[in-house]
Amino acid sequence: MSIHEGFLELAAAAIDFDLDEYDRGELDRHLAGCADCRRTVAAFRDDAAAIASAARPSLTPGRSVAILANILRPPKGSPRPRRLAVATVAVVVGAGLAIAAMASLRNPADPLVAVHTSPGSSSITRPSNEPTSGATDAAGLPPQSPVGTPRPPDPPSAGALPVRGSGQVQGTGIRMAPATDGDLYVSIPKPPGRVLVALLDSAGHPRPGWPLVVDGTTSCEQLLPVDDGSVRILCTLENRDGSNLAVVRAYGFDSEGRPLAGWPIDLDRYGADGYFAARVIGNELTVLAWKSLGNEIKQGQPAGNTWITTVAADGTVRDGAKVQYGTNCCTNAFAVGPDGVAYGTTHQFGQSPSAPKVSELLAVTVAGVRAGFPVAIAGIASVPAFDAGGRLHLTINDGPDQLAGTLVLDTAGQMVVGGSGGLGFSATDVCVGIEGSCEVPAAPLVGADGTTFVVGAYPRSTIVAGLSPSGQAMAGWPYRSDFGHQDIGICPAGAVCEGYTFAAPTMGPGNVVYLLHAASSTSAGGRIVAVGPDGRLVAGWPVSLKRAGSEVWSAVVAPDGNAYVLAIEPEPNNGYSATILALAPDSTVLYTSTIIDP
Amino acid sequence: MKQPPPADVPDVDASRVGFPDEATREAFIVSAYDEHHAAVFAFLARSTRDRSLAENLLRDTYLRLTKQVHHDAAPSEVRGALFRIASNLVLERFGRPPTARLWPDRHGPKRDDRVDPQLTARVLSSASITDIEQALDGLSVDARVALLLSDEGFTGGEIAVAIGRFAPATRTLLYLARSRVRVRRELFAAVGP
Repeated sequence: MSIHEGFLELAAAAIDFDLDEYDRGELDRHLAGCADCRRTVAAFRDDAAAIASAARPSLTPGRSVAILANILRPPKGSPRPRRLAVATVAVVVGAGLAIAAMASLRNPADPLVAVHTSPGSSSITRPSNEPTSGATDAAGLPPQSPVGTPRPPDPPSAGALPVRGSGQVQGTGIRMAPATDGDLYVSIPKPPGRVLVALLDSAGHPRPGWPLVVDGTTSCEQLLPVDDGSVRILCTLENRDGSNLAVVRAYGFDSEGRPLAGWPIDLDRYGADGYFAARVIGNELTVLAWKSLGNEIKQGQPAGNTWITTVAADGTVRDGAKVQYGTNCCTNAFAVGPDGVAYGTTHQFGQSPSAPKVSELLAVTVAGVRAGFPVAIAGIASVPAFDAGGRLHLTINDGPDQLAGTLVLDTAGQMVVGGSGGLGFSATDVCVGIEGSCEVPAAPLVGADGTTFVVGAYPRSTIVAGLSPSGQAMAGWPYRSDFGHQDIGICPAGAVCEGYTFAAPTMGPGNVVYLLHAASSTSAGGRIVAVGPDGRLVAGWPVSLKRAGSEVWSAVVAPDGNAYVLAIEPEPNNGYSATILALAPDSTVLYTSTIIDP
Repeated sequence: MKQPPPADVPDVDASRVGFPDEATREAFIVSAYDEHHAAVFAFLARSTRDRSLAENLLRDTYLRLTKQVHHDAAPSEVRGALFRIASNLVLERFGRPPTARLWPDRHGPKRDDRVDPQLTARVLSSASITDIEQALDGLSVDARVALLLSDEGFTGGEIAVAIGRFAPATRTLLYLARSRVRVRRELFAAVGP
């Protein structure tokens, strides 16, 4: 897009949108010096006037009365509003069967996207002195020693629930993670500079030793339970000295809230500024760490190094080989797979909305970039999700309308059976915000067997495609709803806010999909819908929040099928509470536990 | 049998609606019809270029409003709600083809997506059509709907909500639509429609 075109878009936007003072000033300055642009802007307004003055078709009085009569008293055979529901269902079922039939006719050899390896064009490169294949096991690496002066231990202190505050403000930072035996780990920001971490039992009560207050911390974004009942937690410390980067600290606690020997670990003392992704494998914490190469990165130059770091149960740290990454990498783009390898995508959005979009799939092992990677993909690819076999499932939005499909690759970067054809809708992006930063589809929901679900959640409707492990549309799918997505955070009613995220759908055992919907009206609350593998609502669902204005912001599902849902509800004092609802697979409320009380 | 989707499961007991009885509900619908149906019909007819279809969509628009009223979800801003419903009906009719159509579209010969060929043919067969109408007809349905909503005085944010896109995407859509209208009108001025 040329400079002139950019200002013409701004001028056109001024017809329908309020420009801020800066944009208005820039536009006026440009127009003052560009006669061609002034002519085009005048022509835009002339066109708008022509549209306004064009003849408006009108109904004859007789037709007008007849249509009104039809609305008030539908003719025999035409359903009245409540009956309309049944008719709609029939259409949806018909459409689902048609789609399933169409998919079954698709040539499975026709991939949705083009895939090839592109070693020369990646945003992530391998240093010449690093191996690119071989062992991915960190055990053979030497332990690292921390550098610098250790910080004061600042041990966590005992806390209490509920936390005083605003569910609406602090709710975005709440994290939940199911633990063993029906327990649930929860982290709750408690500004300024504290986070409360709790382990709730199956009745919603804190376990002995919990909750803990972690001082000097702004958030604990990763709660990673271990099978032995302990937990690894990644928290961001307060940036007390005003430096550019806040320190990330990894905690290890046992099931009674006692710090594990050798923990916590400050990542900066091992050379890391932060991390892109983390996972617990066995009892070992695996982190894709990164370090910036400076504040000002020139175009085409590496922006930093990234590498796999593992922290053993005893706090021993091992670092993998460092690889360089570019400026368009890698925040929110990576996931650590069950094999301990970090997989992620980078994107090239092109110079205009219609430009072809390209993604690259990357793989970082303890030995560096895995051979066979990066893999170039046509379209905008999501961060990968994994099935039980470790295969990578990606959502791709592609084409002028950014329509979704899926792609499945093995850990060597080879495409395998399971990718879908075009799904006919655009998969939901991970967030809405600054152009280019958020236009990446959310990862698909993937079951252990490779069954995949792609969600398109929009302001007033939702569609979910259900795909078999072989990539075929399953009978009964897509699931459709006239309920829209729930956005998270504070956004005034009626406003179109940037930079917010959506309440992510999740998945439980048996390939049950849980969708979080916004309320249908201001007099209702949000709702959670459980859709079974047959595309039907699970008996007992949906569950709607009773209180008008209440919202469902997140949900996690335990291996036993119990769902834990975070509800943000308005309170009589104009504040907002945050409550965890524990719901059995049949929607029975197991407990409610208020964790933030205004 | 598949269970009804949640959209058809009323969240709220109808006994709690603000309308005390059926007669009051009906009066609300009649008032909304009297006040806005002419503008909504004009919008539908200009969007679809098909009077018969516009009449059907007008009826469907008010039926959806009626359904909302029966579910205690009567909009506080009726005009905006009617145009949002009408926009969605047009987009559902023309702009969101089912997968069965999209698959060959995606992999078959390229064509101008989302411009209904029957619609175009119908418009081009009219002798009395103006250059601006022809220019509008060259747009994709969602771009045409967006421009006509702009003509009805809706803001960019309201248009984004109505057509189910986010504001930045709507801004780009409107810019491309206005540019395309401009190019076509210049072409018509030079060589005739």
